[in-house]
Amino acid sequence: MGESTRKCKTRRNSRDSSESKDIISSLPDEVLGRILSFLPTKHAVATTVLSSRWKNIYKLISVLDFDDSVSLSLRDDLGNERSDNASFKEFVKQILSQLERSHISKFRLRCGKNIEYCLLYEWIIAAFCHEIDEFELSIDMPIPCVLQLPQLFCENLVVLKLDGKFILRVSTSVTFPRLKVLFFKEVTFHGYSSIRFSAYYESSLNYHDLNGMLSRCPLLEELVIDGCDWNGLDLYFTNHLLKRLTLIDGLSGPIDQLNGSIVHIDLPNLVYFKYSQCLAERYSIRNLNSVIEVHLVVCFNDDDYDDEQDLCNAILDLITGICSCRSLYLSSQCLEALTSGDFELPIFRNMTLLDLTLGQEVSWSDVLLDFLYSSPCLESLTLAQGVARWNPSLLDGKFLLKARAVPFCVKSRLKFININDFKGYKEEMRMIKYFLDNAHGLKGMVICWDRQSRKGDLIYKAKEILELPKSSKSCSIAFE
Amino acid sequence: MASTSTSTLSRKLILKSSDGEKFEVDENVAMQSQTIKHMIEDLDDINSPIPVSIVTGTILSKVIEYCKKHATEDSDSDEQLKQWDKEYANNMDLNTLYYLLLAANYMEIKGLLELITQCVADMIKGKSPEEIRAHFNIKNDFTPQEEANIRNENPWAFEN
Repeated sequence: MGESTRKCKTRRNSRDSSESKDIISSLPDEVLGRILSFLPTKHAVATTVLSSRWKNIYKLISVLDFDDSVSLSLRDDLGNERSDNASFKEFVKQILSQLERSHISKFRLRCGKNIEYCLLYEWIIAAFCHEIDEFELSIDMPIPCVLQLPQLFCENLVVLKLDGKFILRVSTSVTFPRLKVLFFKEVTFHGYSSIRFSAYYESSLNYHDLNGMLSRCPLLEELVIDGCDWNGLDLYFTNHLLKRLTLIDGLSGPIDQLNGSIVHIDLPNLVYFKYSQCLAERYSIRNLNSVIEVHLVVCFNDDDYDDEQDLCNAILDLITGICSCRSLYLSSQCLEALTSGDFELPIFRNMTLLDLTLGQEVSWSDVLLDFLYSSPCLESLTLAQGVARWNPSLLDGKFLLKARAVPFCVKSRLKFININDFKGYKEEMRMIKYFLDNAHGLKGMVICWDRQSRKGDLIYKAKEILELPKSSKSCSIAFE
Repeated sequence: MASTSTSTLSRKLILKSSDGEKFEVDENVAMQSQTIKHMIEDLDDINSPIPVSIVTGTILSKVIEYCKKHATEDSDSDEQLKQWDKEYANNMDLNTLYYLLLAANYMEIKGLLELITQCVADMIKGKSPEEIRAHFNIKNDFTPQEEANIRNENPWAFEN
């Protein structure tokens, strides 16, 4: 390739071999503009230097993607410092003014700490002048700044992603008739944020809070809220077309911020639900009939609950609400909350995959049988941590799984079992033996060693496990 | 009139490439091309071949392969379809990619156009201007002075 490039000095020569022909430059302007629209704007503008054909092509891009961490060669991406960005600022300013009259449909801006807010506002306002359908800001901001979204701009949006300490100010008359994807990270709402100056709060009546905003997004399909301050609000998720919902706590968020709140969920088309949040006081969940995959990770403060049964009921509300899912991932805190009171699990009539992360406080023996009895279709079971962490001295010969009849799913449905953090305790060995004895349809068991255990012990245990009798002849056992 | 199947789904169309090759395809396969869709609307007799004037037979067969895969939506998950797209694009040499790009642009097949455009963009991404020129055989027709001036207009674009 390299040599043929050199040879094709004249046009006649280049026709002879298609390999050495510069066909890309002969593509129509609009196609080249489309290609450059898939690149970070830095890379698109760097093509101006290729040849005279390319000098002005970048002006046809429909996507502005400014990222001060992008380097020209991908290889250096990681090592690039976000320190002196004077030339980045100059670049953004210049390109924005050059493309003022272009048709820009996507605008993305990512930058680090050294951006003056007045400059940031200038750029954002420049973006508002275009008919943007995808708008994304990811700004590392030391202090919060107000972001007001104008009505006409909102009406055109299909994707809105904000990552940064923005205090969002959206007038209550504003709607989002086309919005499908909404992503908020660390965003607060004007007047509803924890910075509650009284004058500020009164004017908040004219602006949407999160619930108000969501109620104006009739087409919303995906919602991610990461580390936003609820500040004791009851929350309403009732967008009927919503397919994916992710609620994640910010690391900085107070642990009790949902304490006293009620979370209402009515989402008939929801497929994916991830809840990684502190527990609310109550959940009112309806119509989650389409849900397939659910991840629940909760945190809570024991002291917030006068009665431990309330804590148990809160998580039980949540689990009962999602019980028609097919895959369920539960964290150790979920199980801890659950076992703090008396509970009766719903029947998980569609569930084929269950992943339980146990922990210091809860052992599998407290909850495993309940889940197995309630999951008639269970095919794949993963137990992480906990099996090993459980203090083996608590056990005194009594093996809890054997106390009751073998659950239906174990006898006839269970195909795969993963046991993580295996330490080779007697109780773990008995559990493995139990499953090998009773799971007639078992196809595979994967056992992951606890990293801190001594290798010699493990090899000995592995040998012991491999020699156990199996009711399923086709079951393979792997160690990782 | 005597056609054995009357359902609209299985109606057949004949596409004719620039070099005269004919392809019989299901209507829902061909309709992914907005251009063809519009042509059919104006056509009285759908049994006559539809000319796809700037696309050769070799390229048209690849276009049809893509359209067939994407006409049967339900058979594959999104993930599988993405994987298929990736392999489809990776199997093309540069030359074929260009002609596919022209064809997708002319025939207005949004998905294919995006797929190939992304694929070419990925080839540009992460390369220095010198490397891009070498990869695509682009001849630099600037004088060193002109090139220096362009670099000075937007210096950040050329910083590493």
